[in-house]
Amino acid sequence: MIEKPSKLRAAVLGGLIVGTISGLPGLNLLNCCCCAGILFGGAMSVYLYRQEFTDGMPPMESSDALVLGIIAGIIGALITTFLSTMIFLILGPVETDIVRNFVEKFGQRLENSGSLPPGTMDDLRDKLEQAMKEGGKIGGILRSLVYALILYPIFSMLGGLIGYGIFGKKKPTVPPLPPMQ
Amino acid sequence: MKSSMRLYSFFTVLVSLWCIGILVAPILKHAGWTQSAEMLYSFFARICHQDDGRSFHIEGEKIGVCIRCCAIYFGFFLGLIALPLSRALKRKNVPAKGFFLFAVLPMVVDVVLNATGIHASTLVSRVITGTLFGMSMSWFVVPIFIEACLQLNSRNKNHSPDSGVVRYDRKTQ
Repeated sequence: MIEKPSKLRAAVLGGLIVGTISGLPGLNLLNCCCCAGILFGGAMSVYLYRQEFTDGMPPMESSDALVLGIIAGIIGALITTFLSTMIFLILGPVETDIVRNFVEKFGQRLENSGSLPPGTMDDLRDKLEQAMKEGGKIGGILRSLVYALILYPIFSMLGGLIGYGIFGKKKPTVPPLPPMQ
Repeated sequence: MKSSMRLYSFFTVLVSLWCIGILVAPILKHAGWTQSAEMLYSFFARICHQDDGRSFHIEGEKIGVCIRCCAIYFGFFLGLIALPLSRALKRKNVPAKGFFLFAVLPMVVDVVLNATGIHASTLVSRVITGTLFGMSMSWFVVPIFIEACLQLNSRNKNHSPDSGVVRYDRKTQ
């Protein structure tokens, strides 16, 4: 029987998805909704891995999804920390302005429509200022990396298992019937 | 104890610790253990906005995550506790894809309507949709998790050190 395909490609791509979503300002707000970005990355790594299966290979198993999710999470944590640090170092003040403008415009709209309780905007401003102060410090980066290395593999693994439940096993193609004689 | 039950217990302990961490943060802060509390808040800040106006409070301090996240995690915990009562832990066939949609759709609708300003989500809507999502996810994910761990375990047992080739146990497939 042919061996299963290597998990490396799918795990790296899944990690890239996790890292991009979590590392880019604006996009990382997705993670405020129960780590949706990380769950999505884990699920996508399983989807991509499933695409690599061909006929004759043993079927994809749930253990593959579990391992893929964890690896994608670890890669995603490293990429996120690298990306967010680089963005902060290169575009520090620009990024701050972009995020601040976005928070002000979007938050004000939600506050006016009653979707945000009063006082939330002040809270968000304080958090933003605090994040900007900690962003460039070595201690802040290391702490961020440690937290990411704990959280991302857990949620990415859950994403991988959800992905396995959704995408399931690839159905083997049925060989054509021999012609009737 | 059977392997599946052991794995289930292990998973339940982890989820319990997670939920306890959410509740312990405000208690620590109230007790004056500010540094430990801040560490916990900082940990959960990576996965939740922790908006004070959208969080439950203990002793006047907000808990580690917002109401929706709290509902998801505690719903997951409740679902986990109810899992052995409702179905066998080692069941191979996972719930249908429709089950996932059924779980996630109400929460997505609530979030999208709130984000677009069409309808402001309420405490009740956040708790109901979050709990529904969390409970359903535990029924969806935990049987697959247990199956995956058992497969890994059996793979390790079947690993032949001489050939370096992994033999897959047919029973687990």
